[in-house]
Amino acid sequence: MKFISNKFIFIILLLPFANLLATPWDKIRLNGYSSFEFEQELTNTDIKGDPYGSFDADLFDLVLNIQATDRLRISTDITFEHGASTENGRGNVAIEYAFAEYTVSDLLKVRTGKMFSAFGIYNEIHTAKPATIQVKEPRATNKPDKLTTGLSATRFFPRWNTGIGLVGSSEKYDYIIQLSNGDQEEVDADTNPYEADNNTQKALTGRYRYSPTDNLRLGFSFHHDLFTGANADINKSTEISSYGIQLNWESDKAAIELESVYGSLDFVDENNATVNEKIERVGATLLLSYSLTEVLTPYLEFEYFDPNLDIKEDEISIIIAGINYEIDSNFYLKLEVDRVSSAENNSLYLGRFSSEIKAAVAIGF
Amino acid sequence: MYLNKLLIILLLSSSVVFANAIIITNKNFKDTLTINDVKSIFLGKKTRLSDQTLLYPAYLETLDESTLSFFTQVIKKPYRKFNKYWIKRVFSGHGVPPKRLKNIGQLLKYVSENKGAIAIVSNKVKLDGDIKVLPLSW
Repeated sequence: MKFISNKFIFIILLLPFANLLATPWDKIRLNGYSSFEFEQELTNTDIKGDPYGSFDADLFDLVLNIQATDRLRISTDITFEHGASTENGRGNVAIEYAFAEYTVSDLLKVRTGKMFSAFGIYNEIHTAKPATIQVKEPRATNKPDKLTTGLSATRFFPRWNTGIGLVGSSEKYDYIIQLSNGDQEEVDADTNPYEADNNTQKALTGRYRYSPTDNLRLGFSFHHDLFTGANADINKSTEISSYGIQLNWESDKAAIELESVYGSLDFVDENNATVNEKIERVGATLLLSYSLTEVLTPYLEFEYFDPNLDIKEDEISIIIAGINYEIDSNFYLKLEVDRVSSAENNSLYLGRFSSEIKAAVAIGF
Repeated sequence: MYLNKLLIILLLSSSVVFANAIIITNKNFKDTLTINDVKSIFLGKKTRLSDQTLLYPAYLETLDESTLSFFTQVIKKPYRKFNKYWIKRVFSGHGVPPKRLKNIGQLLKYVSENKGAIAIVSNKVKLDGDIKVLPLSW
C-alpha cells in the first residue's frame, strides 16, 4: 500500500513537467558564447582606461531556443558577466533577451518579452563577441556615454526593451518593429522598465534592411520615446529621437561596414512644450577588413562622435587597428590598439588623447 | 516548336545537381522550390512550406566536397561565411541554423521522419522509399 501511494505521489510530482517532456529534445537547441579580455591604458590613465592591465572574465552566455510548437519558438540568452559571483556582489547575471515568437508567416512573426533593441548593426549582437571582428562594439554609435558626459551621453537607443515586436523577412529584406516601455534614465528608479513603464508614452523602435545583391545590405533604423528622468531637476520629460543608416558589403576577402546615427534630445514640459535647448548629436563608424588567409583578418575602424552640434570643438575621433585570428572553428583571438583623440571642449576627454591595447579570446558554440 | 518548348521545360525544371550534391526531402513534401527558395531556407529567411509546415533544413556534419560546393554555388556563401552568418543570427535571437547530422544514416532517418525536412546530400547516396529527390527550378 505504501509502495502504491509513493508511486502515485511520484506521478503527481511529475505532472507539471509533462509538457516539457512532450517537447522532443531535437526541438531544443543550446548554444552559447564566451569572451575573455585584457585591456591596458597606455597614456592618459587619469581619463578612464585600466592603468594596471587587467584580465576580464567578460562573459559566459547560454542561448536556448525551444521550438515549442510548429509556430511557437521560445528564445533566451542568459548571461554571466565579469565572473558573476552573487555571494560577493561581483559581476552580474542577466537575461539579455527572453521572448516568445509566434509565426503567422515568414513575413509576420509576433514577439513578446524582453528583446535587444533592433537598431543598427551592433545592438543585437553586442554581447556575442565571436560574431564581431573587433574586441568591442563601436562607441560612437552604440556607447556615447563612454565619450562624453551629461545629457549628451544619453544613448541613442536603449540596449534592451520589453514589449511587443513584429518581425518578418523575405529573400531580399527583413524588418523588425518594437513597441515597448522604452528606457528609464535612472537605474535606481522606482520602476523597472522591463516590468513597468513610468509614463504613458511607449517607445517605438524599428529597422528595415534590404539586400539588393548577395554581397550588399543597406539598412535604416529609428527609435523614438518620451521618458522621464533625464534632467529631472526641473521636472521635465525628454523626447528622444534617433535615426540610423547602415551599409554592409563583403567580397570573398574584403568587407566594409558603415553606420551613421543622428539623434536629438528635446526637453519638454507636461504640455509637450520645449523648455530647454534641443541637443543634436551624430555618430559614425567605418570598419574595413581584409582576410589575408582564411583565418587571419586585419581590420581598421574609424569612429567619429559629435556630442552636441551646437558646441564647437567637442568632437571625439577614434582609430582602431587590429587583427582577428580564428584559431579553430568559432574560436577567435583578437588583438587591437585603440587611439582616442578629442577636441578641447569635449567634457570627458578635455582635449586629451588616449591609447589603449585590447585583447580578447572569444568562443562560440 | 514543341521540341523547343519541351527542351526549355526540361532545362528549367529538373533534379538539379550541384557539383554532385542533390536536395532530398520527405516523400510527403509537396511544394516545388526554386534555387532561390533553397537558398532562403538554408539562410533562415524561408521557414515554412506553402501549408505553413515548419521546414527543417539539414546537412552532414562531415562536409564532403559536394556539400561544400553546394554552399558556395547555391547558398552563395562559402561554408566559413555561412557559419559566421548563422552565429550572428543565433546569438541575436533570429532562429537556429540548419541541423548538422553526424552520418548519412542519421540524416536519412531525420528526413524520412520529418515532413518539412530538406537536406543536402551527395548524389551517390542510396535513397529509400520515404525520401525523394526534390526537383528544383531556376
